Amino acid sequence: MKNDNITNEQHKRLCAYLFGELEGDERASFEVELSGNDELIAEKTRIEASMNLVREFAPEAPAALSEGMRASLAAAAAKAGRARPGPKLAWYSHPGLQVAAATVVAVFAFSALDSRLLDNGLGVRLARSTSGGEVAMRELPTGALKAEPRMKDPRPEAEGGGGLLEMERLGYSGGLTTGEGQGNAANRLFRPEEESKPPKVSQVKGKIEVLEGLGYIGDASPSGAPSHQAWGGLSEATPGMIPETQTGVFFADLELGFSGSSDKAAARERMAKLESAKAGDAENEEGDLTDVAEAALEAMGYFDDYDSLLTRGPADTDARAEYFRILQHCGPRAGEKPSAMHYRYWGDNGYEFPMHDALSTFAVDVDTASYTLARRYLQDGYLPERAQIRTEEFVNYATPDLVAPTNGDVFGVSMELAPSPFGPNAENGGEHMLLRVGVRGMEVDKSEREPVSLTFVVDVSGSMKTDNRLELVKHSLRLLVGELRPSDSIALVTFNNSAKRVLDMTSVGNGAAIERALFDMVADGGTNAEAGLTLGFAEAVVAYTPGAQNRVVFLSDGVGNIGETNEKQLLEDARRAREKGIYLNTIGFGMTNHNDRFLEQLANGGDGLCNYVDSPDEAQRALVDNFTGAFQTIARDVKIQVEFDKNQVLSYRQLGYENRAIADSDFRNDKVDAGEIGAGHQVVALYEIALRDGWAETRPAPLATARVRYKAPFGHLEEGAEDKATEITSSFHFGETSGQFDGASIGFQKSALAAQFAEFLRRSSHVKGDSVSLLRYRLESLAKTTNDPELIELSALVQLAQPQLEPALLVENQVRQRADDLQRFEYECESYTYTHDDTTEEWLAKTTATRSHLREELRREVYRAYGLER
Amino acid sequence: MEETNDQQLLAAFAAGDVAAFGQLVDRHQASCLKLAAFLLGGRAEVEDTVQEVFLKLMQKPPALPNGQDSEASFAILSAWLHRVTRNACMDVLRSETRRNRREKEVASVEATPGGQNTIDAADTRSAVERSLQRLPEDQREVLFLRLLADRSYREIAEMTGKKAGTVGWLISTGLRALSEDLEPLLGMRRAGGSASTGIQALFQSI
Repeated sequence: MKNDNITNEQHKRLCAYLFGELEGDERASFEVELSGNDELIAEKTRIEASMNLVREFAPEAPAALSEGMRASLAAAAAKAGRARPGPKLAWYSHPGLQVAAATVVAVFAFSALDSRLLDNGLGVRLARSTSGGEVAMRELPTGALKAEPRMKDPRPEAEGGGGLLEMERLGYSGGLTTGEGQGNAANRLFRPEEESKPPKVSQVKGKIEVLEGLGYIGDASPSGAPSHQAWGGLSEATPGMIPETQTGVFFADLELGFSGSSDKAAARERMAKLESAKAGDAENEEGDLTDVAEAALEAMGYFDDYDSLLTRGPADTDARAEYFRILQHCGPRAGEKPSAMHYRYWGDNGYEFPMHDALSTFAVDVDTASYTLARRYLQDGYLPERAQIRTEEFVNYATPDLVAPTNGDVFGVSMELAPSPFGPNAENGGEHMLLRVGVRGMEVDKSEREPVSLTFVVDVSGSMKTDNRLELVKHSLRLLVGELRPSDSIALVTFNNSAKRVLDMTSVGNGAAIERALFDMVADGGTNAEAGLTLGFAEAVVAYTPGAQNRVVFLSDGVGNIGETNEKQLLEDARRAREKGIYLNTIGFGMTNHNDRFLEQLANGGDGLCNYVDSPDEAQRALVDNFTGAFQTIARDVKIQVEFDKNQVLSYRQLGYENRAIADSDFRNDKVDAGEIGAGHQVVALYEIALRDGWAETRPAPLATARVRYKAPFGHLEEGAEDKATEITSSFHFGETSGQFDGASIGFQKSALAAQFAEFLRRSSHVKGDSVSLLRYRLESLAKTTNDPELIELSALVQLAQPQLEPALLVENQVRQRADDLQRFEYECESYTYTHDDTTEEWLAKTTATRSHLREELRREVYRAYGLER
Repeated sequence: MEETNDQQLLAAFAAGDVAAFGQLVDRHQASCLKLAAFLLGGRAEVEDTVQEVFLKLMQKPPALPNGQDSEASFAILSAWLHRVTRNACMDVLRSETRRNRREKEVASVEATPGGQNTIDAADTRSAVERSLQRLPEDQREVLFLRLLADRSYREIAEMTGKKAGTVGWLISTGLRALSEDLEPLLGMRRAGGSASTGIQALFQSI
């Protein structure tokens, strides 16, 4: 727009007017001038819009200096301070926080250990193997997508741990018994938002990714803990939070490990008071409470260790403190189940014991995005990040060929048991068994299905130009339209900086209008997903077709979102839409970062699927082949509960589904939201099982019982009818089973191997010691026998991953290795005492000896890392 | 406990209280970082520059008048820090290497036919950033003070040592150039953006 007719003087007055700088007569006369001048009014609008744009999109600035910078400043300040008389304190040491700081020093400093001593091996770059290129080419016959090198997330230690190192270098946490060292902890612990600030992460990714970046996996632990850690991750996942149950431990550490106090009696007394206050136990006020404290301390072995360490003198203060910090994370916490311990140590589902908890309950998940995204990473030459791998989605991708339901049933449930491919001796059938619980939804004939009313929300931001993503979207939509019938209809909304309706709800019969709208879509500008989705929902609501499947399909590469994407609001919108009978599917296109977490959450919120498409083949699969499945919901809120017979099953663990667990007691609580299943979908749950000695005698009882609970889809609900849930049950008796893993059904092997691959990529504790080569061999021979393209692809991916995966699986850091050994030992001891009432003196003596040995090994490695021992 | 004002904190630091300096950093770092990011275009030098500013504060603190209320001493120190930050940023911008790089950047954008009209793959933020980079530094500074720090013309004049009339010119010229630059983005933003209006009502309607 030209505004040449506006003089500089006029423009200056316009700005002054806009900023409230004109007053009285000046203002009034300018308003008169303005009202008669269209050009000036237009310029006013334009200036206002620019101002808003600059305000909204001003260069991002960190809210605070990084830890490292602050530490340098602190050092300089202290130096300046030393030159003067007066109190010398690190500024972190707010007097009011002193006591608390001392109490929490352990957690904090422990996470520092993570970065200084332990290597967490994130984002390993794969050597670019030629086969990788081939696979990528095969995937992309049209050359639609190009592999491009990309930056991985910077290692998160750079800021957190680096800052601490910096401080230590500057002598700021040298003396753990001084106010300074404790002050450090206070500074970080009481400012979790700074602690978790990533080096440079875009606004949208937010906190979740920060946690992931630090090596923590998943959303929530089954026990409801806020988050948890990855394999070998020793640090507390939520800096700034002290689990209540730990207070005693910290206190003991404080008294014995850090304060330098050797007054055990006083330590005991204080700890006991703390315990007593926590328990609210009046009796303890005067009675035998010191016994509790003493027992707790002794159980932790602190007295022995402390006594021996105390004699080592002040030179090893840091190493000693470090050692105690690790030690404290290697033992059970008050009231902690072995499976919770496992989760805390290694971030996956641990074994559960049917004698205590015979039920495994979860919401079904039929997504596959985690697999397709990992495939893209591997083909591009990267090892995917652990946090991005969801085992169940790998299993979902490998079509298992389950028994289809008969007699008009909605679901067919089948179970199969065979030796597990995991664990020691896996070549010969392994020590554990693997149970597969399969649920397959009924097929719906294309001619029988109800009409669909689809609102596509398409990302047309500039980044969609990359790799021809937008063309791939158009291609997919054309394929889809080709499969639809005239009774179906689609609407199109596009978004870049803002959202735009490009096609009203139109019958598929009107192919020309659809093609015109598709043809006109051009990629340019920013990514305002929020505007797109909001408009998409609005369109879907307006065009709501009763008796049809109403669905919003969100297609985006998830790159470079602008503005404040209000994720909560979007999720809320998705849920509201779903209540109105509108589902939400999300499809990620050629994403280079794993924003798919948000896409997955959105799809979950909208009871739909999340897919990831990176090639025309995948587009065909996600949108067309899967068509009746993807869009024809046959059941909602599908939950599965598997019950194990405690007389036959000693322990079980579920593979994957870490973030889909539901409380056992919520299985029949129909208010609890769960997953959606479409026509023909197959859901596989895998359990690794340790059988009890003498299980054979109890054969008549079912080994496992699976229950599936679900609600009918919205379309099938009569007006005003009760939204009732249905439950079906199926039992599995131990019968003839192959003594070999390779003797199990093809589908079973496929599921199990896909899961094993996922667990390798997650660097799960459960594949520790397992062989990638054996997995590859099994996949290759299975692929050869069946000629199944999915198996061929899987084995190609394992081949691609192997060269870098194997080194990544090794724990190179000796401290972490020793800590891991100790954790494993403590976990096994806990598991043992959890299931055995008869722990003998002999057993106790033996474990005590082993524990001492492992601790000494750990201590030696820590001291070595500090250069104190060779 | 009554809050210690900036003057008292500076005095405490002068007496050897290191913690007092930390409090000053806590109070002022955000606005310094914002200014530096605005002037430097959100680059890596932002934090370094601000760190330097605080080192200067440490070494040669301004003399704040005694007995002021906390708001007044905060304002005085803010203005001082603004000047020091601005100058530090200008130093960065004027350094030879950076100038070269910047000229190259600007040249490459303008060499493309259509300039800002063809912002591909870049999101709005980087478009805004680029437009700001192309403004003369004094315009950028007053725009920051007006748009982001919400200062009046008079306050800006005081802080920058310019006449109020000059400030008005700089703002007007800067905004005019910016809006011409950002025109393509403005159009798109106007076309949409109202999608959320009435969605709640729509939900009710079915």
